[in-house]
Amino acid sequence: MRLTLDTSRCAGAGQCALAAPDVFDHDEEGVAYLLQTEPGDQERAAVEEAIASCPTRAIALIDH
Amino acid sequence: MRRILPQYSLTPPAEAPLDEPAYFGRLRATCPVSEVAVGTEMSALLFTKYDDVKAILSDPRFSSNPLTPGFPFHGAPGADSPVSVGSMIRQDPPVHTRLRRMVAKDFLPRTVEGYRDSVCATIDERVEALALLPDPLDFIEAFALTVPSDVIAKMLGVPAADEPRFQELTEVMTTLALSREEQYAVMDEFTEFCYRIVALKEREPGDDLVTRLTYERLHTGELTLPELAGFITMLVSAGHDTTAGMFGLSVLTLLKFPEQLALLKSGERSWENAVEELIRIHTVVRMGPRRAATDDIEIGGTLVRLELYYGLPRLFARYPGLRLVDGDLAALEYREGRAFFGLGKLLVSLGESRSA
Repeated sequence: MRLTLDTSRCAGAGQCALAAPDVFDHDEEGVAYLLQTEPGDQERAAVEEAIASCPTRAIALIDH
Repeated sequence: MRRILPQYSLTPPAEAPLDEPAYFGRLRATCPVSEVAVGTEMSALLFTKYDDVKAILSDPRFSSNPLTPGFPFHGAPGADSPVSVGSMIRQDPPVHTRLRRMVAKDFLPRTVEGYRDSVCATIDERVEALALLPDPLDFIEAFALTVPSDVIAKMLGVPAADEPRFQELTEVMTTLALSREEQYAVMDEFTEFCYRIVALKEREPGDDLVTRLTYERLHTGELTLPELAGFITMLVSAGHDTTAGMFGLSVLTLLKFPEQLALLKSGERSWENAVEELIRIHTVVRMGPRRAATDDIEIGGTLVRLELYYGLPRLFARYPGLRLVDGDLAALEYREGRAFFGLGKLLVSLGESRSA
């Protein structure tokens, strides 16, 4: 699975890193970034929760 | 011909003051999208189905800004106050994103984790103080309201000498029973209070949020002084009575279900899950998010027309994952994803982390 994260939409709510701490983190300004762009299948449930939790819809799955 | 519509109301039934208005439940069962009267001159679509509400809140074509044409203004206290209108929770991107990011790093889960020791110390102090009070005591006044005030005052950097007044103002400001005039008067006084704290931080900077916002945002011209005061007001009102309400409702719920409390106390069930589920069950933000459509948008088969506004009731009390059957709180043992105070463009982690 491949992910993109639109940092211009990120408001820094912190939900993605709570849901999938091995895939998302936040920089020192609080803006999210991807720790890995192609996480393995073991991360699928966590990534789906991160996408559903993001209040600004900044995360997208571009390749399932 | 004049149509008669049900009046949108957030008033709970008198016999169950902690519940959502009964008509939400009836509508959810019989007519999940209904037209309701809002005030005397307007109508709105009221969505009561979880999936519809979720779709609306995560669709950027729905506006949170009360100045958007057709926004459902009436029927919620404080919606049209100047402080409320200028607050980031009433803004859309990109303004919302710009404002929200100013405090993003301050409310990241890991930053909030850093407050743990200080919050625990505050709670211990207040619990010890409870033991010295005569029975019966008012838990809300003696504990639930004071703990968030203490925590927020420390976070913001309110000097110890000003804390009693800060707490008084905060408590009055978040009281929904005030008349509109009273509410505006206390908001004005709180704004003045904010100006004094900012002036103080300019003279004596500290390691706190007001100092940081003053130096990094006010002095750089990114925020004006009234905007900064509005920001502080929003942070205070977002974290104060939400947290206090959760303390009170959670304690009451656990007292009503002693067998659940026993399982938690013995360690057979996790407190962490219980907190999540209690947040979901009680949904302390009563007023319900409102939005205005900025386009013609289809939601679950219903066309929401441009400029037709609508209100949304409390969302999560009937979340599909919730196992609340006939008043039985089996819910506390399950965890099906986290509870949200808000989807859409809200301050999710802000409320969620602080209230936890």
